[in-house]
Amino acid sequence: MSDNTKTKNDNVLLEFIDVKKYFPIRQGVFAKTKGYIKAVDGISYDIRKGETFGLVGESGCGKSTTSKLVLLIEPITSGKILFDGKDISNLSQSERQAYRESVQPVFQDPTGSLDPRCRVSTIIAEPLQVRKNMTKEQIHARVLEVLEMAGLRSDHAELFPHQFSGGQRQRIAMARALSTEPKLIILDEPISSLDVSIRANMMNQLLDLQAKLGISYMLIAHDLAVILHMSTRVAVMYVGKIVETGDSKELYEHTAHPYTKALFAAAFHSANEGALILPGEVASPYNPPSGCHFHPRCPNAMPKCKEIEPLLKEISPGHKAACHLFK
Amino acid sequence: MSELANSHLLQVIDLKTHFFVSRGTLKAVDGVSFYLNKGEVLGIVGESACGKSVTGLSLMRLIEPPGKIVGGQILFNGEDLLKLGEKDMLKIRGRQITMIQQNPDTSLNPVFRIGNQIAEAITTHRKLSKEALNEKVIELLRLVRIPSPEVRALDYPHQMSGGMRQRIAGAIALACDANLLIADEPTTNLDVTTQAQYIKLLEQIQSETGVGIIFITHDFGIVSTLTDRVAVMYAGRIVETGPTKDLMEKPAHPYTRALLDSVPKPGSSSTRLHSIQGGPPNPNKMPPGCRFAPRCEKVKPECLKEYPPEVKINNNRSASCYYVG
Repeated sequence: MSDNTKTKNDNVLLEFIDVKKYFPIRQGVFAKTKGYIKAVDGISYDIRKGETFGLVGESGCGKSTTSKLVLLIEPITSGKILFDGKDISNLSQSERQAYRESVQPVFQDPTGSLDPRCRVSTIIAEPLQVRKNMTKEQIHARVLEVLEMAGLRSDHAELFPHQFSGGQRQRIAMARALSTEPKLIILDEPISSLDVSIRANMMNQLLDLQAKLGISYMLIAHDLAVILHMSTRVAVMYVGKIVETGDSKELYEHTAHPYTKALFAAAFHSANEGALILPGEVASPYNPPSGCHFHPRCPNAMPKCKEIEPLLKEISPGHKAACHLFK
Repeated sequence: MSELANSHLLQVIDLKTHFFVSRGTLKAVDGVSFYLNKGEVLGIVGESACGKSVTGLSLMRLIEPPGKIVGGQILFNGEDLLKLGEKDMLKIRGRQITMIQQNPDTSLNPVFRIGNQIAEAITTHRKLSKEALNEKVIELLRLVRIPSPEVRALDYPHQMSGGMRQRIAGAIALACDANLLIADEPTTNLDVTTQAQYIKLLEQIQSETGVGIIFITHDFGIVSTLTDRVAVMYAGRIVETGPTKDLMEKPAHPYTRALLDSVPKPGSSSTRLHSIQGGPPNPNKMPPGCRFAPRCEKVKPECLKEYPPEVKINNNRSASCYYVG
């Protein structure tokens, strides 16, 4: 057992241990806390070196909050996130800077994440400015290098973001993320704002870069088709919890959780009559249903689903599901 | 001609909608022809800026300056809508031809109860007694599957979820028993599982009311379950049209094929997707020949000279490509 964990740990880059993020709801003159929005409610998983870990779910499931926790944008309520074995919530200042360099984000909307008044070279160089040991020439050389990696030309460096198409802007964001030689890139819906014909190109490029540089991706998306195509392992989230996780191939071939099945039906538009169409809508994380959060929409709901919350259990090696259907 | 018009609910012939801006003329819709039979569902598929939404708005005659419908015919029940005065158009718009927009938040008024908003759509076109009106509102809410409609009719839009708001927009569109419903990306703002629900609802409404639907989308997946026929648009023109299943199984136009290939398939083992190089052309500077030629893998010299004619593949399929002929 201990031997097993050790070899596993060598390969693990980022580890979530029962991570929770609650946002207080304050009301009244004294801003008294009236309750909590349980955006992320006890999730555990690990991201290995060089792999793509896909996080899939609908709006309000906590997938973007998870990315904010990793990026240190929001503090964790409880639990731990370990990066290379170190707890990221109590790093020294220099450690924190090094951490931020090794974990970089690419967001959904490239127009919103690029300063319209800066030239591309300035945008990409910005993460490097904090490094005291780089000369101007070195920074410029690095800018041109990452531009090329992201599939842009060196003469693009002196243009402004508005002179690019949406797909190219997302490449600029990618180049900026690559500039600090990160170990992990958080891709938060990287292609959903792009046109259909450009998406495939972007996905190919992301996979090529990974093969070349050996970086890990944490890919967040609502489209299961994209997630399965890109990821080695996948976690499906519903209202702050992971309901199913496993290798993407295993998850596709032996889908266990009814919610994952419904996501499949929606993502691949299974035209057959038996396709699972869920009633109702995603539960609110403010006041989630008792027991299994999914039970009001679940076609297989049993009496105990209303009362007892199912725990994430291994149903086959590496494949876990949180559902009372599996013992 | 009149015989054709009789069999079709809608026939659009060589529609051109251009926008006259300081940069020049943007030919958003540039010679689009298609038809819709009674009770049929037609999908218009294309990427952003291909002119699919402008086509939808043109059918409603809702093009505002600097845009203008500069040519073509829109025959609705055999009558050319482009020849009607604004007064006559008001009788058709919202009554016989209606629309569901992408974002329900902009099509619903936040300060009125949703029951009143549905009632308004009815009273604009016909006079009903108060009781009959209430009954009709409840019936419409039932049609779009709103639970406990009597109670929910008194809700304001913000009290409903996104999926429910979009269903209310659907109820308003169907308030006057329209013959033609134009749905412009109605599911894009919805969550994936809610999206599947909404598509199912549209299918059910279609079979219950027999309304003809033009479904505008960028997503081939949605088209596959809902529509009978598809028209694929690229840069202001329809490049290929045919029955949905046939077209998706054997796409003829290189653009259609590329679009279908660029989407990840379930369980496919290959890691690389087929991708299309470059981006759509600027509507200000259209390429002289086939508009897809600069991105096409099978481009021939003649593709760059003149726009390819529409080639009939079989009875109900055609594509505009030299490669097909």
